[in-house]
Amino acid sequence: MRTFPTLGRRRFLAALTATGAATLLAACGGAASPTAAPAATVAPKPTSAAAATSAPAATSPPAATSAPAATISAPTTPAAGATGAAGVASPAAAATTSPGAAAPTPAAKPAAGGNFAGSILFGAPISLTGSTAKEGGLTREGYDIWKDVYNEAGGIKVGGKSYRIDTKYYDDESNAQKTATLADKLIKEDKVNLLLGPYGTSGTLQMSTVAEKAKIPMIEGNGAAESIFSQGYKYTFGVLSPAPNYLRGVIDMALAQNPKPATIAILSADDPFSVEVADATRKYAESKGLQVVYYQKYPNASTDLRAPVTEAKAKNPDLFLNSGHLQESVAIMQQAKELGFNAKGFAFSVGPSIPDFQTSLKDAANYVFGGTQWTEVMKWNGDDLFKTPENYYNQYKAKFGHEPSYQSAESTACGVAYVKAIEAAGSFDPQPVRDAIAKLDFMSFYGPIKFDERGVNTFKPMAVEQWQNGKKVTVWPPDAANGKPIWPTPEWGKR
Amino acid sequence: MDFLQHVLNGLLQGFMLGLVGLGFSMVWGILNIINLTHAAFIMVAAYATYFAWMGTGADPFVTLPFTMAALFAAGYLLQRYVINRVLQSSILTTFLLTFGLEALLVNLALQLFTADIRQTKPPYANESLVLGALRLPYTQIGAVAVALGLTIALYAFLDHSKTGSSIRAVGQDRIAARLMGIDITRTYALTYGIGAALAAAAGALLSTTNGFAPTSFGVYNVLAFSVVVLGGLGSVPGALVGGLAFGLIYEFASVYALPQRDVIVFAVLILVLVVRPTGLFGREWYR
Amino acid sequence: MVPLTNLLILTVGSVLAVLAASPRLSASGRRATTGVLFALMLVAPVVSSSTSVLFDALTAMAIAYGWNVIGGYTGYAAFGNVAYLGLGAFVAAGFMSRQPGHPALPWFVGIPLAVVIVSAVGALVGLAVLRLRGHYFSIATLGVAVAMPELIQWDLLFGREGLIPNFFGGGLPLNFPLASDVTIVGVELSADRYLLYYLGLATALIGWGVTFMLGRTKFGYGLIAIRENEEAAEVMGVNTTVAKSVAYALSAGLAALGGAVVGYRLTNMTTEAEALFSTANNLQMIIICLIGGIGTLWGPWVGAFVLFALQELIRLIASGDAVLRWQATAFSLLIVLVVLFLPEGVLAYVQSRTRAGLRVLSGRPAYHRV
Repeated sequence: MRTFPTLGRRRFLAALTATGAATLLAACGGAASPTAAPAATVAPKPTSAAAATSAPAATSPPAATSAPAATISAPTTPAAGATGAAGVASPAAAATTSPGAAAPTPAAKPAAGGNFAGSILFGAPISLTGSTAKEGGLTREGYDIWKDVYNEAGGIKVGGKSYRIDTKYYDDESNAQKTATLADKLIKEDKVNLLLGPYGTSGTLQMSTVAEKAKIPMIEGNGAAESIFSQGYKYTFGVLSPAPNYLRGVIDMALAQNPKPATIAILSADDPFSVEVADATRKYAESKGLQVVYYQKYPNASTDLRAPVTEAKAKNPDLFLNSGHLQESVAIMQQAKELGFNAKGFAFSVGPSIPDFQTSLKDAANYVFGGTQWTEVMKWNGDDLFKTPENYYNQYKAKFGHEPSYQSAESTACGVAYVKAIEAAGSFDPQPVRDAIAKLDFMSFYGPIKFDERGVNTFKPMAVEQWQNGKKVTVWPPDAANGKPIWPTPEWGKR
Repeated sequence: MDFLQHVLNGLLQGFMLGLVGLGFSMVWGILNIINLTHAAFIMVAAYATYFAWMGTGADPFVTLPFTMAALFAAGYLLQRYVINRVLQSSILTTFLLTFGLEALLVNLALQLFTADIRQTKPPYANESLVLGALRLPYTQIGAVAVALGLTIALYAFLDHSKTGSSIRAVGQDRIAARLMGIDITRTYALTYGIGAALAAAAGALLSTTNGFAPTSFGVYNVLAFSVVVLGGLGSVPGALVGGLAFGLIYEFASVYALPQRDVIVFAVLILVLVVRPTGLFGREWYR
Repeated sequence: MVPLTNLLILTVGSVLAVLAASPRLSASGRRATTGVLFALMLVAPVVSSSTSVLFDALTAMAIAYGWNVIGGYTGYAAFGNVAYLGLGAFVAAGFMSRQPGHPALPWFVGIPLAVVIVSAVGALVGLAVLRLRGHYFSIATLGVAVAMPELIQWDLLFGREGLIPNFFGGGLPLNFPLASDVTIVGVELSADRYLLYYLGLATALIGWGVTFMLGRTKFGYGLIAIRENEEAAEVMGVNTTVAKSVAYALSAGLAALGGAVVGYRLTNMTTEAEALFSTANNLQMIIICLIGGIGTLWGPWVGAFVLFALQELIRLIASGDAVLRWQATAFSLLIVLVVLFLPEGVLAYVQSRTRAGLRVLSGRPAYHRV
């Protein structure tokens, strides 16, 4: 029989020290002020334990050690009985958020909070690591630019007073189960006032249930599946156009071209959102007289799609559509090139609108169409601080050094919608805000925002973009376009 | 013609998978660990190749030997100073350690390189040799050459060199090998280094065929595992044959039942295991 | 401060579990500690600020107890239990959903039914894959895990015109009904805080109970005999085929139980990679057993609590915005360090420090080699 290795105390201590040092290092690694974040969280004051239940008092700052903003007391909003402590203004939210530590612009440092009567805390679990880390990062940037731009302009006005926007994020590791748990944690432990959506259909779906149970509204901009809104939930609102619209514009656009396409091939990932898009597109194509010659689903996140591309090539369709994700769209174009698959048009639900599509495909990205929720050339004239898509584009690029994708824009739009709803409600308690959201009807830099009874923004049209000579050109609908589609796509050998 | 193209797709992808499986098989066979860090080595090599090409325009096939050498050194040190500490514990312990190392490397890569999608794009990337209606992508032809070359080289090395013989001896009987005066620790580190170098070769080639991000490579652990099981543990040519067989099964499962592709692939795999547990080429010479 | 309650409960729970397994205490001392631990878990929802983390820890523990039966006691390194976790959730959802075409059974019928069905599926699969050993068994079970979500979406079986039409939603999400709040003598009890938490606790206790019985029944000794030497066990009169299959079915059943309860809280089932069938879920049960100690009664308990406590701790420390993204890196580093310095798990480490022999309450330390 084998005995256990004897672990000396020294070795164990070394391990413990290393672990502790590592976590601390990790904690301090990127922080602008290394002491702020750990100190605020590690030295909690037990005096605020009362907040565990529905203590309405937020007048005495619970953690005086944390942030300068904590010394300003917020006017007490009576806690709504139904939801426990929800709705309490949280001036000391900085104890857990430390918003200044991360904000790149000095103007957003808590010092500027001197003019604020308090703060409103928005919470979101976002995928900062894992399979959708890229999109999660864009989502977060969208929320951050909203927070900073509005805070610089004086925050949100509620009843004549200005409130600072604070955000609290957790990393859900692209794991929808964690999204749900962390949303619950945000509501019950961090006492967020309102919820912003996570990235992705699956996470949004799970979080919508948490929001519904807690009766706290969630405005989300990254889950377009009908299944999110077919549950009869009352607290989930999506600012983006729903799934069936994703590729409809491409078909309308193609049918207006010469030569007119007659056949179409559709390849879809097998996750619910992609399937919804593909099914709706198939029906729409058939209703417009197109013949669907190939329709196939593949396991989500496949990147070796040579087999279906070979099959599609054999069917020789005029139009090729894919409903999937960024990595798959890149793989399909590469493999179409390798296999010499020529269609008159290639279009994707997701992919072409993200800059990576072009940076990894280079020339092979040209002529490809993509459905998009938003582009910077759209001609909206919004009633918000960003006003026009062009202006948003410039501000975003100045702040982050790269151009915004539609994921960023729709995330920012969630925040903008909240500002409108809170100002309309004159309160940031969940219930009045929810009711105000349901009644919203305004124009933003992102397009019209108005929700139907399911919480879907069916009033916003989608656009079609095409890569032309390494640049994205919006080609459809004609009244929002800044260029004409190039049709048909030249064969691979002649590009 | 479609049928022939499918066969070609399967075989070309099969050589790549064989290359991925080769190093995995070595480490599994000799050290008896399921090395989940394998996919991370592929990732590191892919980034090294990409940055070398971005910085200097160096062709991935030119930088390949250097990438392999670097990863060999990294693998050698990792085995010598980290993995070796728990090598004698249960298979699950080493499994978890290599999993942790993989996650660590992937997360570090996410921080350093971000999740942006990248691709090494020499002029011939995603271009194909056209043979009538058939298409053979150049990078995949290159992969065939590299996979074949490395398989033969590894086979010759294990069979004919003194170091190779000592590696095999350690694989067959660790205690006896030690009694014969073989430095076990060094041999293990050497083997692990070779495994990492082979992963590096695969990574360099994969960086030219597909766009990739740090999280793109995890799937290659499962693929390598399957390839080795199919080809048979303990056989160098087995890994290549396993790769080819797997490539073909995968391609045709994709043609006839794409949404249920993995059901078919694993049903075949389990069937092979139940009927012939040592795989197609399996021998016992590693243990 | 409020967010600390869960961390505190998890830490105290881990310490109590280590004590309950400690050979230093007398038998009655261990029993008393066990009692205190269970009592703590019973009152936890009243003091905890958010039970969701505790719920996750308890259900993960139940699933890990399931893995422990086949991976720890029987010595077969299964890498595919996530298949049964997900299947359990989907079958339960199929029975409980109020969407048209579903029987809309209450949870106390739907969940047990799902567990029975998944156990039967597990037994059948087990008959095939348990013929294999070592790495080969592992890869075969991994195959089951990869194939299961695709099977659930197979249109021929469960599609719109399939054999059992849309039982699993036909590729689209399938919903559990929302658990409703309960009112007892005028006090409204939130479903999340109480019903679902106690369901989670019950699954953990069932997992614990099954493992407890393994330590004192002939069947359990048979499994350990198989682990130590399968041929010898056969000679000693253990029907290894039956014993292994039953163990595998038990393992699948516990995974299904945990999965169904997790699914009931989430309510929306999808087969997407990031949902229930994820690799993260597949590895988590093994990691939990490894942290605590494989093949022991208290290993999964300690492992689950330590794991979730660490995650909470990291979340707390890493709550500054800019450091958020380093959380996953720190966590993977932690796994590496734990494996390097505590390779036999926390329990074994603590017990080896006590120098009082290796006998655990179940009597089976983790010295086997798979």
